[in-house]
Amino acid sequence: MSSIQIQNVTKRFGDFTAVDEISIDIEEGEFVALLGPSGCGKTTTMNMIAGLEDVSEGVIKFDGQDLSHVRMQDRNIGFVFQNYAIFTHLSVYKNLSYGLEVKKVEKPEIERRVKAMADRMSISHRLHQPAASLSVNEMQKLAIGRSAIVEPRIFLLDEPLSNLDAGFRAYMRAELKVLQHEFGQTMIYVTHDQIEAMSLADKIAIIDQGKLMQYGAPLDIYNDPQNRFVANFVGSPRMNLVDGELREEQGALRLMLHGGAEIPLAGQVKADFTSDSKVHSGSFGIRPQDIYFGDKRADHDIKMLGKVEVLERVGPKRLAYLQVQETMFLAFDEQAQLNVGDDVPFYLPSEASMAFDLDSGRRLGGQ
Amino acid sequence: MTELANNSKSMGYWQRVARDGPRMGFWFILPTLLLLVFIVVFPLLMQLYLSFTWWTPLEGIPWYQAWEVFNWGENYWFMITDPRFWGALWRTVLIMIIAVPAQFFLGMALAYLFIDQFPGRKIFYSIMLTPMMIVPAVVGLMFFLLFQGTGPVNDHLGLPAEFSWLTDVNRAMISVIIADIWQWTPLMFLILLAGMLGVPSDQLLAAKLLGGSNLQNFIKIIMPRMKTVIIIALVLRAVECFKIFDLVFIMTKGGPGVQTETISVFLYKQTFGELEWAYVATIGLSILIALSILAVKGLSYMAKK
Amino acid sequence: MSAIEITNAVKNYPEFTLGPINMSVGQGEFFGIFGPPSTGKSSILKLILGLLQPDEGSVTLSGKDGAYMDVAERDISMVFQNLALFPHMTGRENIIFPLKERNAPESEIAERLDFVSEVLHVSHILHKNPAQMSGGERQRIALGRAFAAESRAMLLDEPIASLDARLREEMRVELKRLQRENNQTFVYVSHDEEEVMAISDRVAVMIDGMIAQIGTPDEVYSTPNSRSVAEVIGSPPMNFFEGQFADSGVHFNGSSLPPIPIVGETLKGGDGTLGVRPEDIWLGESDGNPSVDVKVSSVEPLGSYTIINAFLGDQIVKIRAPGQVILEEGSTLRVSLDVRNLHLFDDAGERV
Repeated sequence: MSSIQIQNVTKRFGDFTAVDEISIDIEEGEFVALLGPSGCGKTTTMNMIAGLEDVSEGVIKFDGQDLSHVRMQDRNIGFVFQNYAIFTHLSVYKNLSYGLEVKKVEKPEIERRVKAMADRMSISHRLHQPAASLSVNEMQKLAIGRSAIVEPRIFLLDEPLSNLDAGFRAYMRAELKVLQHEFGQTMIYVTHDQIEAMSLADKIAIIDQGKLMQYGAPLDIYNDPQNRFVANFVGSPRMNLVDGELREEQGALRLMLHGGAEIPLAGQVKADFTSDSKVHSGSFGIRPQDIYFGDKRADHDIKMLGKVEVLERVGPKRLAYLQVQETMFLAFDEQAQLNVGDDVPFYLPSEASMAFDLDSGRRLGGQ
Repeated sequence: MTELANNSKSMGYWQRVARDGPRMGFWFILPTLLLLVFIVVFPLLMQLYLSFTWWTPLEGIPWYQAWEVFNWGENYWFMITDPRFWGALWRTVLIMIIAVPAQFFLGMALAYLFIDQFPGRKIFYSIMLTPMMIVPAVVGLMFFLLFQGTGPVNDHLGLPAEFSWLTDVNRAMISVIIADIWQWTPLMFLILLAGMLGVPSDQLLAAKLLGGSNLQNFIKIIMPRMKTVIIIALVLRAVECFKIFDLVFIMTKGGPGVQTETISVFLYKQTFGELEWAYVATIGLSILIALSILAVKGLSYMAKK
Repeated sequence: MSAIEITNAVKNYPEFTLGPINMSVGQGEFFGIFGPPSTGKSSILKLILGLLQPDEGSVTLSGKDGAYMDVAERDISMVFQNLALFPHMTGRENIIFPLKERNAPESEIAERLDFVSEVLHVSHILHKNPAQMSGGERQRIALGRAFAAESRAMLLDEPIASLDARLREEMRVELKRLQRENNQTFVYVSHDEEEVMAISDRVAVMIDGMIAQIGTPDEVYSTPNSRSVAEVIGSPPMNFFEGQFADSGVHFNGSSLPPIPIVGETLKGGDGTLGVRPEDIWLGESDGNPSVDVKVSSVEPLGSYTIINAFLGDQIVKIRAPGQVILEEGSTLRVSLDVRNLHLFDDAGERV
């Protein structure tokens, strides 16, 4: 088990900067997710931790020890590839024993550990079959077992659940969590699926275009996003983020949305927007579950009028898409009383709303 | 996704042929099929026929009347008791046993060096391939000149002109073997490198991350996946090497005397020197059968794995 | 008359039989087909399109038998999973391809192109080649091409499977809007249950080559007609408890559970399964609902709700609680089951 220090790490491929001065401190035994859209640099970052890529600038340390001259073979890392990279010409047994064989562990010991790991991963019944004959789900378990058996101090997983079908993915999420607790390793997990990151990680590092956007515990990031990108990326369904220009008229502050509509600001969110006088364009954020219908609940809550465009069923909930001129708001239809085509008033509670500077993306106000 | 109409076949193949006649493709390949029969099958039968006769072109009768000098397989008996034949066979096998493995290991080692990128890789690759592109006769001439008593080899080794490579029994064999290795290692290199590059790179990475050294990974991951390629390379080269002719003939003419005579050289002399064509047919056929059996065995071994 | 009707269609494969399939898609309907991978969903699309002929049964399009119509005649557009964009053509050329093939007049081509690129927001990338486009852009061009010629129906085979989670959500809304504005008939195939349920007017659930249930998303979600359907619809999946129906028909006795009172008519005696959705398990006690203690294994905080994995006896139970709930691992939690939303299945897996 190791702690990892990533300090101002940058990676360039020719003119292209894939990773731009990322610094993350990971403690022993922590489960950290690197979350971001495709091409954001999360896989490159992980490759650098593993030693598959060199660092252009900056330093990566394990337990305070600089890794710049340590080869990937010697870093003692468990790595699960996105497509598993199972040794298809070997049996399941041989796949599991590979890491131990190259370390010249004794045969009886190898046998004991392979059997134990196969049991743990529920693939004992396939132990002597060719690895290529396994189903995708079993292959994934084998990939994890193969890396785990050498008891590496750090475990790196590259989008390990993306190839699995939805049902099995939910199951494996829980399994991975249990595994990580059992093995107690420091785990780093690359994904573009924020649900996975939220449900599995102790801490999430959100990366966009090579830059670290925010690093913290899932609920901290969810409740207190530091910039617009994070607010948009984390949360299912996604937060409503509507952009516009701030305009002051007769003491009232309005956000003139690009889609034509306008939001009369009040209460806490108005204070947030005015906290920085240099800000002229803003982004108004409100989570779907915070929007409500019916009667106004608090003084400063903002009333809007919209038309129901689409109704979607998302699990046990109904999601309503409310159109206000060219802008779309998402809200939950808790009472199941909306119909497509209805014109309904809805409220944006100012306490729960968030303000962002549109130019920099920075969060305004906030805790 | 490009699957077209998927009609399941429910009747047997011959029943369908009987019902509908052969498929259209059959008519397209028929001319080539006939050509193949004419070029391959007919000569084989002719060879079989002649091998049971005493026939030579000196007999004065056309070959299809060779039954007049039918000899009930005495040629075969003669072959089995012919010391010159066995000598040639032994020497051929010797060359093959030494040259082919040497080429193989050399080719494998060189291919290993070429797996990863390095500056100038493309240029070196092209250079590596040139030997096998030279006409074998020319290679023979090349080495003939090199191994002369007064040639460059002796010069560089500081050996006197009397130290002969090509007229000494043992050293002549060595010279031929060296020439063959020089010419054909590139082929091994080519085939084996292709096999190595066919190994998925992420599996190699996975092996490295598990702690495997480059050598361990090579033996456990790369080699097993190359079984098919290795066997193809070995069988291909072994069969070709067995037929070695140009190098030997040009470098030593099979000499001194018959001391470096290989099967092909022996057969050549019998055909154009002694004109014992029926005997040549006998030997040729026997070798063909023997080699075919070996090749098939080798290939079926590969299919099993 | 329905736009697409499949009657008793069967297709035989060496290891697998598809069908009999009975399915009817109304004009202007967004019809979803959901099932795990390799269960024949794509084959159904091919039957509709005409790439495959059924071994038995028939495919009828607006009343006409498909056996007498070849692919071009059927006038159906399809978006493939791998998009199959023409790599040597620009976005614009890709989109107008079907119109050119049909020798449509220039004015019509221009009109359709304008309309399609407007709706799909691709006007700014029409000049690019597919290789220069992002995944989402390529998706939209493929949709545009399928959309350009006003066809009888649009078939979509997992068209957004390869996109990022975020992009997929956005595309879903676009697709739905496209479909509604044109009153087009859409048949949408996916192995992503959430996606199909969110977007379709009606859903067909496929299991083992047969259609297990057809209905609106609401119907399929709240009243799955068999255990197999209940297993695949809903994320996280339904919790199942084996047990017996009391002889009186008034209770269900499940492993580790207290006797569960049953509302309404049910089986008397016999083995069966009780299904409870994670959101129907509430934290704490509640009036009229049976409650039980569970041991917390792990907690997944997803922002607007929390998934709690807990042990009931040896079994893992998933509970969906609204909001943000903090719990200690290993702690004991009291939960109650909402009796109004129980699902009961007999020993054959059929709904009771």
